[in-house]
Amino acid sequence: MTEQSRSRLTDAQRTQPGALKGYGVAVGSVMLALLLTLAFRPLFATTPASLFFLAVIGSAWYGGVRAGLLATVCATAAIDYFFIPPVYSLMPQVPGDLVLTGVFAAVALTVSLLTAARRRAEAALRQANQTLEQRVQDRTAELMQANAAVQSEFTRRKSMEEALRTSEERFRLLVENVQDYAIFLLDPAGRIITWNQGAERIKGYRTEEILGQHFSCFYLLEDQAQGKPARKLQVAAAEGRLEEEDWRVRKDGERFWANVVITALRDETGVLRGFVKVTRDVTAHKLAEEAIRQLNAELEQRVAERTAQLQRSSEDLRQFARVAAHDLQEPIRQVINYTQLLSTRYHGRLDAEADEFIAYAVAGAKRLQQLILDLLAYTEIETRPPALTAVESEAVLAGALSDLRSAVAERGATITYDPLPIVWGDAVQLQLVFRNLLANSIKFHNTQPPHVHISATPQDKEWVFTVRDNGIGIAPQDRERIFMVFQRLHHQEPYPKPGIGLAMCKKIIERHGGKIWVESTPGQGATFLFTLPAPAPSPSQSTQGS
Amino acid sequence: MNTLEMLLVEDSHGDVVLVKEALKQTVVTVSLNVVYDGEAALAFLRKEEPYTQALTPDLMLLDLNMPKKSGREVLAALRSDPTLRDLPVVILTSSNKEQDIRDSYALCANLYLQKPLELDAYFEKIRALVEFWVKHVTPLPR
Repeated sequence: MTEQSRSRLTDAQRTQPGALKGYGVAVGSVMLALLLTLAFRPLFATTPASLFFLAVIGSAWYGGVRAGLLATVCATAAIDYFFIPPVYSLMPQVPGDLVLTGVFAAVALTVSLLTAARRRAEAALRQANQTLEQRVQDRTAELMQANAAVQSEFTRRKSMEEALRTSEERFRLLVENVQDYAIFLLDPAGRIITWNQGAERIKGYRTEEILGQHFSCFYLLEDQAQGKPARKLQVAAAEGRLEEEDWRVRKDGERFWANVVITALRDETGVLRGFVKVTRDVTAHKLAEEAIRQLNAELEQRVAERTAQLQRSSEDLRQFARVAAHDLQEPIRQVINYTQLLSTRYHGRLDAEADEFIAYAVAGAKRLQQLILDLLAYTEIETRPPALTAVESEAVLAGALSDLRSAVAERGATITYDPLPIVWGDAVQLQLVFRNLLANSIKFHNTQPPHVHISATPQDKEWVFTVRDNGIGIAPQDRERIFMVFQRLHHQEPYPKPGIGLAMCKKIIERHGGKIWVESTPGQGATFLFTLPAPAPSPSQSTQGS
Repeated sequence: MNTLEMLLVEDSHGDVVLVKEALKQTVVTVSLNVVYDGEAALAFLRKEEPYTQALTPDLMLLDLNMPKKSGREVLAALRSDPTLRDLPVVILTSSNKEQDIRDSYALCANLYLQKPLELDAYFEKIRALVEFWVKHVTPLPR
């Protein structure tokens, strides 16, 4: 539009100076026609006006109506002056000449008007042509531009399509060649539309025989009858994805345990386009799991049976120990009583050796009695759970020392101790622990008088108690055995035969949730260590001074 | 000083001898009758055959662990027998089981004595019992 108006403006400017130029051309062309007619007078003797017609036509064509009129006037005047007699006069001699001049003028005027009209028409036509041309050019440019855009879009799309095709090709090859997974597509109704090698391997169907079939043929007959396949698709469509493990059936009818993932495929508007189904044969895995589960169940069963057995036999043993301990008291007492009666009644009546033998019999019977009492105490610890309270371990130690007064005095033993904490335990049983450990340390003394030191240090939520002596120590191979019932380590005098004391300590400490062990260098004493739980909240707050 | 009529119910002959030995050392006079099981004890007390001539004892020493009828059963039978339920009974046993002690007192045993391990202590316990009974205890009216 803008270009069209600019071109119109240019035409208008061109006609403005053209007006004067038109008149010039009119005058000039008439003069030229005059000169030529005069120069070639013999040639134009009969038709002196002919060149002037040309001048009028030319002026009208070039300068328009006004230039045509001017040329007509000038030409009429020139013809009248030079060629109509009387020559060199504007006034004709005969009326016929005047008519001729008038005819010329009229014809010239008409020609001039026609020419000008034609000229205008031509100009208008030219203008119209120009406008048309311009529009054609504009449109052509537009079209070329659009064409270029289309071309570029086309190129872009083509390369995208190429890329897509390559990618699809790769993807298809990938999916088709996957061996361990059946990967295939279903249409929204559940009919199979693609198939891969994994699917063929796992399910047993070839591509050509399965395409178009409904996927429910992979399900067990009873599952099909229950409408399971359709339900699975419904769930996948509703939730987007469904994963399950279940039995499936191959083409040959063999069952396999499958891990199945069904994913709903929807286009950008949300319309369901189908499903992708990925199936894996995990039968081996499942069987292994089953085997493990079965083994575990069997093991558990066996453990339960064995535990029950052990509980029964353990209870039987405890019962036996209790009964034995009580029932053995009676005969032992009689042995003791009667050997003593023998001793008093017949003292001096038998010889000295007989008295000595009787003394041995009494000592042996008493020892047996003590062992039975120990055994009884041991079984009672096992059957009676500890009565746990916050216990001042220093008071418990004092009780144990009181029990051991005579043994301490007899052996000249020194017992020292650091401030001891409050612990969580059964006071009666803990006193037994201290008594047994101290008795043990005093009993197995070295050449020097026994010295025993007791201390305790906090560790996490427990206290570690240390009972250190300067006795004969314990060989590495005996460090476990000393905590077992009736283990003999020392077969020779002067050490008394071991009892059940350390085993009892172990039992009590373990029933308190602690542990007991010994550290020793033979000949340089032994250190018994045991742990006991601290009462809540923290060990450091319960330290007691002595 | 009166004679103490005492019945000893004891299955162990050894213990019977020891009790007799102990009684020899006392200053009191004890007339001791001995039966060796629970059924015989009840027959003696009820003056049944062969104990029709038996005297009702002032005090009975009763062992717990015996054949036929245990001491506990004998005690239970006595306490439910209107003619015998007041009879003073002293349990003399080697058992120190808590249950035995509780059961005995629950059946209204008058004393529970455990037989000591040491002979001297045994003799002392029997001697002290009979002397205390004779010297200090007011007997059940006949």
